[in-house]
Formats: sequence, structure tokens, C-alpha cells
Amino acid sequence: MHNLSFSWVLFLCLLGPVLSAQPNFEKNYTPLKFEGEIPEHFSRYLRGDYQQYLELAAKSEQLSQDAKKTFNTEAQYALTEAFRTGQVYINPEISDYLNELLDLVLKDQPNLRKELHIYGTAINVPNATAWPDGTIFINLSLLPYLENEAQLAFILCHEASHYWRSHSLNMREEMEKLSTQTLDDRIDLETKFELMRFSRSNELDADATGFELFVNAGYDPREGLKALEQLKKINLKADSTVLNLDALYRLPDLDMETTYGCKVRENLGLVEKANQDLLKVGSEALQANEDARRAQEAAQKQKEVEIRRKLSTHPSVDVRMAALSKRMKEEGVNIGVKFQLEPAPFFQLRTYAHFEHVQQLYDRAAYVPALYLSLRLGQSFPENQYLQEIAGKCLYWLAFYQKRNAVGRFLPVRKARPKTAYEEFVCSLYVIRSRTYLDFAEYFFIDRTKQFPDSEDLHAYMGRLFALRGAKMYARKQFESYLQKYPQGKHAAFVSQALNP
Amino acid sequence: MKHFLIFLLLPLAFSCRTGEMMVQEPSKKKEGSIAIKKVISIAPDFQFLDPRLSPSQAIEKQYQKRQGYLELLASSAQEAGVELEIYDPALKNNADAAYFNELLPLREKVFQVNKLQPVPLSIHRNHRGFNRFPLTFGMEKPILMESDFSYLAEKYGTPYFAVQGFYNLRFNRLFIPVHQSMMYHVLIDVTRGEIIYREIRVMPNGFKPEIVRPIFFDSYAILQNL
Repeated sequence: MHNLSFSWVLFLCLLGPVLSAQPNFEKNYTPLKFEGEIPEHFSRYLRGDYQQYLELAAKSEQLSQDAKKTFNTEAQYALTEAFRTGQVYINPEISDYLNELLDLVLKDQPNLRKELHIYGTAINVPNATAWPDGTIFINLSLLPYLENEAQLAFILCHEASHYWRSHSLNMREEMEKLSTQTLDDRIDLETKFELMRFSRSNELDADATGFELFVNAGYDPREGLKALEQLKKINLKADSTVLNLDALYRLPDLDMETTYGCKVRENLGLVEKANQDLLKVGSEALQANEDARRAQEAAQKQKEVEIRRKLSTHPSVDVRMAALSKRMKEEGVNIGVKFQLEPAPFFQLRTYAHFEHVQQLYDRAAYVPALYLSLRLGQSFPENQYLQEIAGKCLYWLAFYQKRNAVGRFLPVRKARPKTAYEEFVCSLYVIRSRTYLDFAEYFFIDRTKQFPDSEDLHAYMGRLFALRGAKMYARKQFESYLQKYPQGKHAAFVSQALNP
Repeated sequence: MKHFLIFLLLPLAFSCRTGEMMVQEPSKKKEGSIAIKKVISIAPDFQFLDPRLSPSQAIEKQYQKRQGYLELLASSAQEAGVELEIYDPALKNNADAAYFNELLPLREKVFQVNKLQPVPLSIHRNHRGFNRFPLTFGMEKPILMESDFSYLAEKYGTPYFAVQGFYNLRFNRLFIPVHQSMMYHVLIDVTRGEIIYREIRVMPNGFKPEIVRPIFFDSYAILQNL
């Protein structure tokens, strides 16, 4: 009996840290950080060591010595820069799962697997890339578009095939054949068309080879097609998610005595009404302008479509899907599975991608999309403190730049007939004028600091907001309360400086 | 002969570019000077652009020169009385988790703030060099940024962090080599959440050690009188 209870205690002791290690997205989120050491091949590049690449390029018999060197140096430089600027996640939360998945899909190709290194990246384009040294980058912004592990596995197989079939080296050989060293504007259009045609054939080849790896790994082949369908959605940039703007515009039950006499309630009411009017009716002048602009754009677009098609590095998704469908018909569909590993880590990775996207937008000072996404994600995670902090900080900076008459730098072009939730959101921001941004931000901070009394960022930025309004007494009070609560906090030095300039 | 020389020299004189310099100092000056003693420089950027070189040659040249210029920068700052600590992953044993998690985000933030609260010399000029807008357009002081980095002051022993870049462009005009160099130096006081010093220099010179050494020195010597 004693042994049994002891083993239970031991089990619970071991389970505790495991459970607590899982991120709790419901409550809070900490942005991903660099953990561990710099991988060997990156540190080699940072030292300017080209040897690895020279070995790789040595495979080519067609390339001249200069072209080999150019090929090596350019690829190495691009990888080093991506790493140096912090675009690559060196974090086990991301790389462990990606490596496990790559192990699985390449279980029959151990030699190929050894040559590949896979990383998640913060590059804000939904894409994945394979590099000539066997590095594969999966941009986390791609993950929200994928529905299951099989679709991600298809993308990995596609990228692994690019390396396996030496497509980048082939491309360089083609460039050598066409006597050009660059892909930029210096080469003539016909050469460019020729190169891009070659690039598109490489893509179809990677699809075919990747599909074979994918099916051999035991995944449902139809998921490969679905992954391509998802890529089509990226191209359309469709966003049909409905955002409940109440999260931002709901009239709070604020005790007006706590503020200092500004007519927050009236201002918010006016904005909400104006916003609704604009969304329902739309301004006639704006509509007329937009109709004319759209007609002009359609005419222009028609002309550009053909050139764009010829200049595209990838064939259209329809062409790729048709090629895969044909192959599936010929070979017959063997039903596989959507998940071979545990599903939970895949969905966790996808959630990470959503949160990291918000963080990246905020870091790049894209305050409007960051605010929109934090509110939209906040619908799924209403108790998440991090999302509210980001929304609050975005509102603060919008109010800050509004006060300096520079908020126009952030606002995207508004549409008279908004089709997506994001366009509606942008319209609503246009109706907010002058001091109302400050009112919004202030209401937001008062409301959210009640909801999240332990949020360091909300406390500090609320003080900054009061200071921005010129309410020095309130700012001082807020800063003093911050220092009492977080004497060693990350804003403590700033707050102390603000209190005793 | 005299007239011939005039006709030869006049076009050359007109083709010469003069340098430009712009310095922005702190919004609120304290009594006396701040007397900056230590600065953390985050990954200074050196770029050498030469259209005559192939991309790989240009990159190699950059790698070769980079180390030397980093050392020159540190020694010039030392001479000006400022202890300069450079954090750069290209330097051996100088990139760790702290660089990627703390310094790099700060550097990116500084670039964003610079873009949003721009320097007149870099932005508000048209191709003829005239101001399109009054210099004060969108240029109210102080140049504020996030306060999230204020904890770095205690960790690194100084609140002053620098973001610097050096660019050199070399091209030929009528077989005469022309150099154009640019340097920017942005200093942040993380405890104030403010950019306290911005400097841009545009020079019609090459980027040789004997030319840039006094410029580096000057840039840090100014900090002693802020």
C-alpha cells in the first residue's frame, strides 16, 4: 500500500512539470524566444566559411568555377542574413515537432534526412523554402492555412524534393546557359520568361516527387490536393471571418467620476453610430470614386495578368492540382491517414503561429492589423492577457501618432464597400477622429486593467496614456501604483525616470 | 592653356558633391552634459556597394572588411572616451540567447521608430534636394518608443544603446571613380524610452580607415556634450 501511494506521488510529481510545460493559451502567452545554441552550420556561415557549399556545388559539371562560387556565396549570405536578423526560430517548441514530422516522412530515405535541417521562421509570408545546403524554412504564417498534419507533411515532402532533385543548382545551371548572373531587372524580359518557365517545371517536378514521398509515408493522398487548395486561399487573400467589434466598441459601464470629465460615453456613442452608418450606406462620393478606380484597375489587371503568369516562379495552383489529380486517377487512391503523430502538437503549433503573427505585426509597427488580429484571436481566447496587452499597446501608439497628426501612416486605404471583416475594421478606424482615439484607448485600459489586474504592460501603458493626454496627476498616480506592484518590473526603470525626470 | 584648364575644371567642380550632416540632440537637456561613458552597439551594419563587382565578390569583400571596421569603430570610441561594447553574431562568442531575445528586438524597434518619426534629411527631400515639407512635419520631439526595454539598463550597465550603419557606394562617372558614403548613428536611452540622438552623415568620400576614423571619433565625441 505504501509502495502504491509512493508511486502515485512520484507519478504526480513527474506529471506536474510536464503539464505545466504545455503552454496555456487560454490564460496568457509568452512570445517564442531563442533557446539553446546556434546550430553548427549557421555558426559556420557567420564565420564566412564557404567550404560546405563548395562541396555541394562541386556536384555540378556544367557550372564554371565563378558560377559555383556565386551560387555558394549568395545562398550562404541569404541564409546568414535570415539568421542574423532573428527570422529563424531556434526553439524546441517549434523545431522538435517539425523534425519529428520530417523523420516520419523520410523514414525510407535516411541519407536524404541526414542532409536536411528544418526550422520554423518568422518571415511573414505564407510560404516554405528549401535552400541549397539542405536547410528547409517553414514560415509559421503558413500554418494557419493548413488543416492537419498530412497537409503540412505534403509541404515538407515538396520542399525536401527541391533539395533532393537539386533544383536550385539546376536553376543556376540554366542561368549559366542563358548567360545571366542575376534575376533582377538587368536581364531582358525574354530571358526572364525562359528562366521562370524552367522554375515552374521544377515546381511541378517537386510536386510529383514530393507526392510520392507523401503517399509512401502513409498519408491520405487527397490531403495533398487539399494542401494545394489551401494555397489558393492564400493567393485570394480571402478573410471571411466575422469580427465582433463589440469587443472594442461596446459602451462600458464606466463610472465617469473615475475619469476626468471627458465625454467618453458620448464620443463612443457617436463613433459607433457613424461607423454603422458608414458600413450600411457608404458614402456616395466614395462609391463613385471606387467604381471608377475598380474599372481602371480591371483594365490594367487584364494587361498585366499574362506577363505575371510568365514571370511567376510557380505554376498556377490549378495546374498543379490538375497534375496531381491526374496522377491520383492513374495510380488509384489508397486511403491513408490525416494524422500519424499525436494531433495535439500540430494544433499547438498552429496556435503558436497565430500568436506569433500578432507579435510580428506589433514588432513591425503594423498597429492596425495587429489590433485587428488580437481582437479576432481574442474571440477564441477571451481570457488571454497577452492579446489584450497587445491590443492596448496598439491603441496607445495609434493615439500617440494621432496626436502628432501622423496616424495616416498606419491606416490602409479604406473601401467604400468593405467585403471582409478587416476592411470593415479599417473603415471603423477612419471614423474615429482627433481625441476619440485617446478616449478609446483610455476606456480600453480602464476596462482591461480591471479584468487583468496582474498585467504589467497594461499598468505601465495606462500611465503613459495619461501622460500623453497631459493628465500628469493621473499619470503619476498610475506610475506610483506600478512601482509599488512591480519594483523590479521591465518598465520599472522607465517609470522611475518618468516620476523623477 | 588657362582657358582650356577652366573648361576642364569647371565641369569637374560642378560634378563634385558636398557632404551633408544632420544631428538631432535630446529633447530635454539636463544641467551640464549627460557624459555618456558606455554604449552598447547592436550589430553595426557595413555595406560596400560596387556595381563593378559580382554579388559574390561584393559579399566576400564585405566579410573581409567588416571585422576591421568593427575594431576601428571600437577603438575610435575608446579614444573619444566612450567604452563601446559591440554585440554582433558575426563576432566570435558574441551571439547568445540574450542577443536574439533582447538586443535584436530593440534594434528592430529603433528602425521602426525611425521610419515612423523620420529624419528630415533622409525622407523629406525630393530628387533636387529641396524640402518637400517643412522640416518640422511629423517631427515633434521627443522621439518616443516602447518602454518595454528599460530593464536592459541594469543588465548591461548602461541605458545607452546604439544602432549604427555605414554604407559606401562606388561607381565610375566618365572613367572617374566616384564615392558616396553614408553613416547613421542612433542612440537610445532605454530608461527614457526615447531616441536621444540621431545623426546622419553623407560624405563624398571613399570608406577608407584614415577617412572614417576621425568621423567615428567625432560621432562619439559629440556624445560627451549632449
